[in-house]
Amino acid sequence: MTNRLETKYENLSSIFLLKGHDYQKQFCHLYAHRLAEMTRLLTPLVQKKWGNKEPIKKLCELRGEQDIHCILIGTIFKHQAHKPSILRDISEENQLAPQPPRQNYSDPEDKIVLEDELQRVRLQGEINGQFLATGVVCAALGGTDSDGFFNVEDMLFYESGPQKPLAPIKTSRFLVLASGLDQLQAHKFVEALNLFQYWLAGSLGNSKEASSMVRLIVAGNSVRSSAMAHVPTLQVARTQANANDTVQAVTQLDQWFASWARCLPVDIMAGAYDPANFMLPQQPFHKCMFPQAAQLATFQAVTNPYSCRLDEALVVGTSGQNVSDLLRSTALDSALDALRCTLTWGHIAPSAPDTLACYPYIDSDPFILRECPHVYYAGNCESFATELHEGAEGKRTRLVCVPKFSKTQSVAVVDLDTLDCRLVNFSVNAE
Amino acid sequence: MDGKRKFNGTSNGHAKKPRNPDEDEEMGFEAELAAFENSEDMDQTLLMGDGPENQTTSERWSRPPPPELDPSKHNLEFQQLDVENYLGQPLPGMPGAQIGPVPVVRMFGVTMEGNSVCCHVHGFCPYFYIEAPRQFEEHHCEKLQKALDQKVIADIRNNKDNVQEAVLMVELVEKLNIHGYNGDKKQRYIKISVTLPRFVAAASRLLKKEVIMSEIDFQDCRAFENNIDFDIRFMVDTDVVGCNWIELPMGHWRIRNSHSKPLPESRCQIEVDVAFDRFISHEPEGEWSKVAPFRILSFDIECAGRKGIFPEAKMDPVIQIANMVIRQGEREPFIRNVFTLNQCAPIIGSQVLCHDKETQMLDKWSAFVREVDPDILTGYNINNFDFPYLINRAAHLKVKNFEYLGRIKNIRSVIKEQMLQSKQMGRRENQYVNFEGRVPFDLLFVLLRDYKLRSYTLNAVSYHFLQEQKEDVHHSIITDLQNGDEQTRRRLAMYCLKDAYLPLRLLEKLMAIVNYMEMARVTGVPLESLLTRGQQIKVLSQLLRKAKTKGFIMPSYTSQGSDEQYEGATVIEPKRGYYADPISTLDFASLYPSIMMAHNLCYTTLVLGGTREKLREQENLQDDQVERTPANNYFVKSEVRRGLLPEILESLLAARKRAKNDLKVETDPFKRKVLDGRQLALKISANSVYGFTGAQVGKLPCLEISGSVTAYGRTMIEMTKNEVESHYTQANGYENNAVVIYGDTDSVMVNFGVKTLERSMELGREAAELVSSKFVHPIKLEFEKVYYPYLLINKKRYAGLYFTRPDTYDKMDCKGIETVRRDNSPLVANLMNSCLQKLLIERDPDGAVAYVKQVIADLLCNRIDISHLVITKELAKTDYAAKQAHVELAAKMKKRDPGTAPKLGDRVPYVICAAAKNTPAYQKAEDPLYVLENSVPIDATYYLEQQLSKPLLRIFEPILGDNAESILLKGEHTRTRTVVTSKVGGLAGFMTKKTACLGCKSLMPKGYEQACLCPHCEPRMSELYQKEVGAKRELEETFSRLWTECQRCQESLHEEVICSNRDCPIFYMRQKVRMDLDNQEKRVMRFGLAEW
Repeated sequence: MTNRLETKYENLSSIFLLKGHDYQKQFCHLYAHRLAEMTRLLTPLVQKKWGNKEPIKKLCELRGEQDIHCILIGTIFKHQAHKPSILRDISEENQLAPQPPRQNYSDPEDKIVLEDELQRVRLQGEINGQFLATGVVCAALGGTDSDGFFNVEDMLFYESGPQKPLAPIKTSRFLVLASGLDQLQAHKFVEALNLFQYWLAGSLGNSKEASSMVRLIVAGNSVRSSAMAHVPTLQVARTQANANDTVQAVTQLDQWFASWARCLPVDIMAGAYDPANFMLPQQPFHKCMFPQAAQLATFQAVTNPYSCRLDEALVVGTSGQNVSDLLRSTALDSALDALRCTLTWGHIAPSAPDTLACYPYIDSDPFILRECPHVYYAGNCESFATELHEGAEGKRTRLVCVPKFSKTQSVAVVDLDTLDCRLVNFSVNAE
Repeated sequence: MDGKRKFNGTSNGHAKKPRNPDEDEEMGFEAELAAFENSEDMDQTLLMGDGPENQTTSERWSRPPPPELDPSKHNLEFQQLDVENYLGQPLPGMPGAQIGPVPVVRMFGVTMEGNSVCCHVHGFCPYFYIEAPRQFEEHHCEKLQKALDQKVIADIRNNKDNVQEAVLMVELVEKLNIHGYNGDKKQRYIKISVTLPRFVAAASRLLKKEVIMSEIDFQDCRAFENNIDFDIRFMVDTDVVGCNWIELPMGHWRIRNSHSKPLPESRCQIEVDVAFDRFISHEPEGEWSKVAPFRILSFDIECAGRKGIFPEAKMDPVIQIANMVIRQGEREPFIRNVFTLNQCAPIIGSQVLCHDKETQMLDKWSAFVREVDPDILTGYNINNFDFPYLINRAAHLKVKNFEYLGRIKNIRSVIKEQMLQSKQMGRRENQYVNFEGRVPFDLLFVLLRDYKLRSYTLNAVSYHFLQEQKEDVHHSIITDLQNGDEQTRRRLAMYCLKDAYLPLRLLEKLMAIVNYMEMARVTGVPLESLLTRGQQIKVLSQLLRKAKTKGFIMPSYTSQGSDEQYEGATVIEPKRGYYADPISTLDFASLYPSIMMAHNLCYTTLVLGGTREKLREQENLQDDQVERTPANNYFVKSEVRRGLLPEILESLLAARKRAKNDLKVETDPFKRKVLDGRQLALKISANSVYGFTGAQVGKLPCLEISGSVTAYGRTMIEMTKNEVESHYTQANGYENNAVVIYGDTDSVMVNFGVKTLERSMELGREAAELVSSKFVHPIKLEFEKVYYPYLLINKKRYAGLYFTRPDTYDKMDCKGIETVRRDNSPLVANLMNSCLQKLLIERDPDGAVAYVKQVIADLLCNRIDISHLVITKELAKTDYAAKQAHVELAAKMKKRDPGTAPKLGDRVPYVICAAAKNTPAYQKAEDPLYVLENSVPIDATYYLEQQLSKPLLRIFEPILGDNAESILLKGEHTRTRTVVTSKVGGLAGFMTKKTACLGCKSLMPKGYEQACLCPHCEPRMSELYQKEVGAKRELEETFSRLWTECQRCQESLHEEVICSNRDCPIFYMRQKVRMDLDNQEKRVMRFGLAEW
């Protein structure tokens, strides 16, 4: 094993770990906490941006009157005609010629609604509704009209919390981000995996580089990267088809992970199609699934979303469900745009729980970006994309769309000091 | 019309009118003057015992001010919506009786500018005919008039109206009896005109029973047209059809205002008088087919009931009334408001009107209705619930003037019981509330009439037509919300507003108002009677109109309820089976109407039994001028006399053809619906003509006609079969011998033995032409569709994929298969549907069988979602003679919790649960929620044997043959059963639960009690863990989708879902998934937390 640079590591994901479960609860509590906390966070920003001239009002204070100019803070709800609906799916009238699920159900006709604790109002004006998502909390400056609309002149989002400064450059330390290993399909790219392993170990003549790789995060869909076939039936929850192949794939993954973890610390996140729970936050894989790797202190399964600090750098990311859900429900057309949006909205997964499954929290919303990350990634993107996002007050965040390994045979490498990012490709067929 | 409105008119609306009538102080001198005039008005009206004056409180609510009208210079045009009559005093200068009381017809309507009109039509007298006895001569008329007049007046029990004149006129006229051909020579009839409609019956009764004139006996003289409603009589004689335009030409009408005599009686903006022969009634064609912008008010009330009791007007308050008013033709309601009891937080886009007292709220609402002045009142079940409740409640609280909801100032709206007997809808007892001039148009009535649905709750209906669920708040929660704060009341108000809005959206979606208006115009009856009366009145109205122009009159017929039966339509015995080849279907277009036209079948052409000889002698009627029908009746041919019914049918079908042609070229989906509605109305009207002649308890049944029609139909089906089978043979050079596999009332299914759709369509088209050529015009056999494949189960039971073009199918067509029956569980319908899809669309019989097996296995293993098993019945009364499952259950639930137990009138959902052997079925019913919460085992055998087996075998026997039962219901898949252990009843209390291995289900050995797996299964831990997590995954996904769906439906993210709409297909699922997820989580947790 190459000598690795030492980094201070701190796992900050305990907020994503579920201790007990209570499914008698509904989703309203999560929205209520999101709105309450975001309102608290947004209020000083509102005054900074728009001054104290316009009052912040609750919808119920408007009492249906016209021509009131004010600021509203509330949760966006997009009324979308084509939003997937379980009701429509099981409607017997629609059984004939079932519609294939839409890749994107955003539509210019979508209605944008702002909802506060008690009431709703339709928004129009400067809102760019097609690029908004349900669940985003925002402040809107505008006025009411006689038709019951709120005419928006300007909008404000939280844009995530403060950022801790990075210490000045010492030596480069690299974070490796991989996703979509799709072990079920691994026979198609086993050479690439081998190359990747040699590269991690520094056996490709890159020992110096390898020694500065301080951590590998595998961002989901290690086992599979597509949905399982379902048996058609009239049951409440569909049963899974035989999962034997998955079990085998997990065993093989255990081998890979064990050998990688001998090179460097490895964090494994669950992904959308992995044998883990479905709702966000996805819980770490159970130790029993990776008996070999689990014996190594450098290997751990972590939650999705995952948040950790490497020295000063705050690294936050998901296995990509938040981004792909936005690509379905909005007119955003690149994963990078969607990823950037979640950062500027100050919320990792705004469309949860509406169209993105998530646990019915009752006392908090763990997905709010209370601190601005230095590295912010989403796994399982169709292709690699990256950008250094510069926020207010000199905040800098490296956005990384981690490509699917199964599709691109490549991983992303982020320099934790400069926040530079590059792609490393292991495809044996590539030029 | 009142002073205030005039004031607003003169101020030209410059200043904003005060919203609140209490803000009158600043109105100034002019206003004071107006108010003065107003109070004078009030005095006079109070003397007359009128209801309150209309108020003008809001620009938004009131109609636009009417133009200044001068009867000598202006014409007045309006679309009438309601025609009715009342007893009034004669108006000098008008025709008719000059001594009161006299009947006056009142027409209500709207002008193109949106002003409401009340038009009094004077001088039209009721009349009837009797056969003139031979010795009756012209000079007897006067004597008869006097004698009958005396008799009728003497006959009046207590003459509180002070009637001085009953019989106005007696004339000798020449008319033809509509019933039976008797040559063209007119007979002599006595036309007797009376002053009041009720004297028609009295006079004809007296003529029959008593000696009126000593020298002439009228007792055997048959009466004619003495059973026609006065309104219909008026409309027929003046050529007014339902919802048409009326024009009052200048110089022929008078306007009423505060100075006129008589004073206005109505709340309409324009009130006029006209003589019955001085107005123009426009045929609804061309320019006059337009529709006025009339106002439709949809509303819904909420009551705060007590726990466990359906709200009663004497006890439980009305707490909210939501209203939506839309102008016909516009998309959005222009008034949206809700009247609430106690403070309610505002709702953007709707006006919230809070009231401290219920009496005040009811009073204001009633004033609101008068101010908005709607032409049509709608809502869901308003006739039988909302209106009676409001009126009873207001009476109980002694709210003054509440009942003045109609357009006539001094008439209160009262509740009457009404019985409607109709073949279409069966016997129904309804409540009816009068609103002179406003048409109650209950959406529920429309749906009951026109659509066959599994359930008629507003939830089910909106799901069916709009694919939207509706949040349903349980009665018990309504009271809690009302007793909360202004925000909880706001939530209730949102719910109430939605219930007021939904009927409008449904009416629009179903095009109900436009279609009904078209129907009123086509058949000539008032709009309201389409909902309150049966089919007969429509045909009667058309027949009378036709008869009038030709000088025919209709004998009155008293129903004898005879048992005489005529043979119904027969069917060609079906050759059952699954046909994988295309089956061409030949249809007779409008079969019964075309038979009547082709063979000139009518009352006027019928040669009555025994008159043939007489006619031959007297009228020189030759044998070749008479046609004998297969039912052995004789009708004269059309060259002798064209029948009235054929003429009516011709115009109906011609109009339908026009509508269909327009439909073909129309591209606008909205207008297409209107045209489709029109052609459907015309088709229904044409078909009901046959029904009219066959209705035994009808105005004029004629079994000779209806019997002949069906007899012709039968022979034609037979003939078609013979023609097709004899022509399309291998001997004649065709691919195969054609076989008619089935024939029903008006269609014939032919198997030409060809393999392609193109060829079968070609042969179908050719055969239709060939056979048509052998029939009398206009009977026409049409080729319309090919079924491919086709599953013929039995008479009137079949399914097939319906093709009209060779490239794609139009739909899956199912007849008589268990897909909509209400007393089945949805499981049956869903399974049938899926099977038919697999059989017909996917052509995968093996897949269908596999699917059935899967579902049956799921059923036996308790994996089916409970909502598929729920059977629903209405709790109509609690004392059925025979014990019924839902009644027993309701009693059981009442013991558990009287608050949420179903009440009389509620629909009770239940599932059948497993019970000890020989437990009667009615004791096995259980509340689905209770079943879920307590894991009560379902009686899977009941569902398999009582619900699924018969319909399944019916569709699979043609495919699998006699083996169907053993394959589907007895195979390997039925061996595994899961029995859940109930948490309640039986031995549940004595059981202790021991932990079992999650892998092999064996009891855990000593020392392993806390572990998840036994030592034997431990090596498979990873695999078993993944299996449990996998199961949880699916549940998590379902959980998320279900509960977010409910959030969307209730339109709030931040508020808890409280909906208890049991009709919603996800209601039980939602509950079930919570429990399953909790259980599954426990299983996963036995593996221990994933700690690293």
